[in-house]
Amino acid sequence: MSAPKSNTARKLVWAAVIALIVLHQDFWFWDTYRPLVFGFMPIGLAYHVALSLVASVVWFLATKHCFPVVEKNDDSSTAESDSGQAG
Amino acid sequence: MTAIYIIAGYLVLLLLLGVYSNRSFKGTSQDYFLASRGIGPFLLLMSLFGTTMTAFALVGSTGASFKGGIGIYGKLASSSGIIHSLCFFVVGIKLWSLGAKHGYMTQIQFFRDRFNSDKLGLLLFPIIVGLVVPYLLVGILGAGSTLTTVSEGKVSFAAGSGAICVVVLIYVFSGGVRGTAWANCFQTLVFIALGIVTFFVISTKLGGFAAATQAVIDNEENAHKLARIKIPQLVFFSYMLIPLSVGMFPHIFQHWLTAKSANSFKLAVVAHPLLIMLVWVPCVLIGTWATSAVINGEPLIPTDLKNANDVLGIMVLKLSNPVLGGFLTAGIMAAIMSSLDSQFLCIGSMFTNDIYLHYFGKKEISEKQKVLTGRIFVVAVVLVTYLIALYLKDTKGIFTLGVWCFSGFSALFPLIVAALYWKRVTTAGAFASILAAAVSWIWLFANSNYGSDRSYIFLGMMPVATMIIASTLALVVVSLVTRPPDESTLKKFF
Repeated sequence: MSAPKSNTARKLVWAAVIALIVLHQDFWFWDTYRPLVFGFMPIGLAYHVALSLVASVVWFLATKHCFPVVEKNDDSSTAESDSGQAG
Repeated sequence: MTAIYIIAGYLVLLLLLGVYSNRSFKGTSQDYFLASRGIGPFLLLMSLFGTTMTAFALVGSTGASFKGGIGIYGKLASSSGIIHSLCFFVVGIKLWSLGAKHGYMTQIQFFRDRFNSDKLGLLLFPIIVGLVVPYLLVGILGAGSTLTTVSEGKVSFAAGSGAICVVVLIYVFSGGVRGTAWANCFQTLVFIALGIVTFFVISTKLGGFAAATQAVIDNEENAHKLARIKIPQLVFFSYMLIPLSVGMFPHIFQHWLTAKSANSFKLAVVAHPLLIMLVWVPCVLIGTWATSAVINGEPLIPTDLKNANDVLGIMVLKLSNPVLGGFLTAGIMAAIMSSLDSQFLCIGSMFTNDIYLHYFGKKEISEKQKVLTGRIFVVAVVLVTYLIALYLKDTKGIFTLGVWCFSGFSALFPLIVAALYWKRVTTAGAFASILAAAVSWIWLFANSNYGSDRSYIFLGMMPVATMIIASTLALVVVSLVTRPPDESTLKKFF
């Protein structure tokens, strides 16, 4: 189980998660479909597809830098969180 | 009838999988309801994804895109990619840890213990079951009506929905949550693959991606569907609160508890947004393209179309062949069943653990008896919901209940977050939050003419926003004015 690497990394990842939520509330590309990305995908859709890809990357970083430290008890299926913080 | 033969073959495969999963069954209630907490990363990802994606991901997304355009992706798909993973990460892992430590099998057990109140469990139980049952009914009604349509009436609603219920019942009955996880994995792979194949076949027939989009641009009436001009921005933004429901779904809670370790969550957290994208993008594009698709000078979709959910089926029928149509219908059934199975099992588990064993199981009960009780409750839940579905099969409004069920679960989300992270939350605060969620839900639901007004918004936003504000305010204010929880409770959970 990987422990959090540094407080800075943790803070940056959580800032990225908040940024994802804010960026989702886009009012840009609202009333236009141009440019067409790859010649067929309206920009408003392409933006949100990109957001899905970025979300996956941000969550990957979260699992690397913010994953909760879980201590294993004697019973391998039993575990305990150390700090009450999942991230 | 080709489609029906393909679907029948698919259902037989599922039955075999269910019977096979029974070979791994260890005979204990822990194994039946939680797979002995032994599910690894890939199966957990597939279980969680298959359970959260219903038929709406295929037919509903296409229909919604046909009606309103590409905005549906941002409203439901990209938001879910962010929020579902957030729920897995912030709520799921912590609950898994506490569940393993204290031996919980259901949400109610956790809340009873966390707030040291039996009555809290009694209040939550009917609310949670009451919100899951309509969600279950939507699945059964969708399966029955799809099979009747595909068979052109040769398979009745009662027979079609009954067959789906029986197949799900058999693999849930025999394999418990392990059978459910295996079936979900298989079914999720099926509906993702079929969605992608369908997308390429249809786009080729429409002359390619660019030509299909150009046809929409050239169509003055529908070109706006390539943007979001007609969607109110506050409605779009407040939609993001609906996926928070995943944090309170009892069937997702049950899947979380099956994880082998905290590490098992990592793949689900990272890959969930990608899988949503893989399923939704093709369907949203097909739906938008369908608005302007023309074959031999005639619109592909009849101008007098009554149900937008039929768009995907019509596109497949007119642009491919009966074999792909059959496989696509099997994919739709897969999406429906991969949610139904977890819901049936979790309601059965709640009746067994939260009612029967909690109130009537004071005497020593063997593991065999616990499993038998669980199975009896699963059979009863399937039978009762099937009979309700038969009774309601002609009630059109039932399909609109889905978003209201989700909103109700979202309104309870502040409670689970506070229970896990806020030491100052009190039992009175928890009661107040649940009651505020319930009262605001009922009031708004009544105001929407009991769901009949499909475009109902309140204060310019989706009703879920008001519900979450009400439940959060009640939780915080009442907690702060009541006595803090005792040290022993805090020590147990923090």
